[in-house]
Amino acid sequence: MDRQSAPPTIEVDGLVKTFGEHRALDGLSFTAAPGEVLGVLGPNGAGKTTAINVLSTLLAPDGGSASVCGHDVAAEPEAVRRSIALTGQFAAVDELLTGRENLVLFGRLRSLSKAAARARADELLERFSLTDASEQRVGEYSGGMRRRLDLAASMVVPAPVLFLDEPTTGLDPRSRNELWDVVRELRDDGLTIVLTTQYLEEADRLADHIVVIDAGRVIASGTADELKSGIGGGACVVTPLDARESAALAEALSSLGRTEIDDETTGAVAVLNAGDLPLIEVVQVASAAGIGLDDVARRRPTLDDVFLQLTDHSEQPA
Amino acid sequence: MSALVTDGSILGGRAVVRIVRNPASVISATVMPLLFFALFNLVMRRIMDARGFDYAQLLPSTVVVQAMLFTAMASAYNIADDKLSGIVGRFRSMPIHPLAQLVGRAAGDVIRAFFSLVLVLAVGVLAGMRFDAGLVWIPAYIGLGLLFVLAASLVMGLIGFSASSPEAAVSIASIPYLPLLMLSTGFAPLEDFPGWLQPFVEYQPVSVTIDALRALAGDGDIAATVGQAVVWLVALIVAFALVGARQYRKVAS
Repeated sequence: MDRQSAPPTIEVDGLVKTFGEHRALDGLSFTAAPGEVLGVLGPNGAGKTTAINVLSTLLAPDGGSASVCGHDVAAEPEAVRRSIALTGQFAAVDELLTGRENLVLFGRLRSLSKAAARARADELLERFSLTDASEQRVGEYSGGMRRRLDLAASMVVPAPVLFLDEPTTGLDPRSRNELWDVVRELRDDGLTIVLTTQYLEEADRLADHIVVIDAGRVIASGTADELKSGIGGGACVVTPLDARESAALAEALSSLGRTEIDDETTGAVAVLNAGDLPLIEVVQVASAAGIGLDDVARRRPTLDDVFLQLTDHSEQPA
Repeated sequence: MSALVTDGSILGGRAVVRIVRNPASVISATVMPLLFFALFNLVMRRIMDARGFDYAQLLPSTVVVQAMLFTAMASAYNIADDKLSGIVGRFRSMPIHPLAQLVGRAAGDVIRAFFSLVLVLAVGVLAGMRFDAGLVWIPAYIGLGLLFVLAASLVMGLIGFSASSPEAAVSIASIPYLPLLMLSTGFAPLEDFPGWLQPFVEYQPVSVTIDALRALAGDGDIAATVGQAVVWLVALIVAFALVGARQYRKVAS
């Protein structure tokens, strides 16, 4: 996708937000193109939720600017609120109401008539696979069901922009996969989605474009592939038959590149930046050293590698 | 204005459903005031009657005010719960009237308080309470009770906003609740308090409201006491509604 072809749906420019001494946002800038899923990736405390709160008009920025669908968040908060749906970090639905009552409530608050709100609630319950649980109180829902209801509540009146703040935190793998499917469907409907996450896999699978943030500013951005190629090489992981030979193996393989112990239990050794190393050379080096091998595998760089490399303040690569 | 009425009444409806579906809230609105009424009636009535008071006239207004304070404390719990669950932030990110949450909550509290109040009054009448000033004062009696609950809920609401959990909100709310109720003219006559404490006891809003309610039931000067109570309560309502509206605007998700 050419991100430059249309004016961005979301534009964040030099955003600053301080809480006392702490600069939660420190010159944050990024854009989201229409119809894309923008992944905002960062560790805890990086400023992800603060950024979402500013974009959804819950917090006023101390500096810089942000706009959603052309509306400035500070100058036109009402217009921004009409363009967005927010699914916060906690599934913010009413536990004492049933799933259906929650959706009717949110529909009525978005100015639907009673009848229209009910009809819309039934549609959404169907779409988010909650019809069977529609008359149960949300207090009895599982975490995955609550999340789906939370998303459904955001969709009561279709808004062009959806903010998802760590939507899968605390979900089991199955519920997480279900939620990912829902997010993809919403993207296919044409929504612009800003998704914050601390899970690289999630950004990798869902986001068209990723910004990595740390300490309130963007430290890298691009597609998942661009980010991965930015750190080069990948690795070749070599597992000896006997874990006790790990050190000897690392010593022998160091003729091929920088090595490190990859797994203490199996004794696997990683040859770093060696994604294109011919595997036969590895086997030859090992057999010359008299070390039997259990496995030799290439490992493509993951977003984890990118993330760790970018956010590791103590060990900056030279 | 019409957006405020519409959104406020939708959220008021939600507040009422939450009150009815929460067993603790139903008990604190009905069983608790009646239990207090029955126990005080049992323990204190003969003592107070022997001292020359007409306890059947005095007790109901005290228990009415106590029931209003229970409602206000439940309101603090509900706010803390809403804030921590993120639903306050979610409502704020929606295009609804900025005061609708405050109005909705107040509406729910007043409706709950109305049922509590009527229940206590009915039991009071069964136990011998009479409206000697005339039955026409009953609506004023109920109205003043509801004005008190509005003020109390707005004050307690601030505690709900600043508490770290709903349980903490209730614990903190009982700190003003207990001295205001015990150091009032509700349970003991003014002259029973030590001299240095009497000015506080006499003029603090719980006493002033109880005295005004008793006057409306035929025991005191209506114009003087009710006037004083209304001034107190309206001042509290205006001040704390302004602060409360600010609180809602500050909450993020």
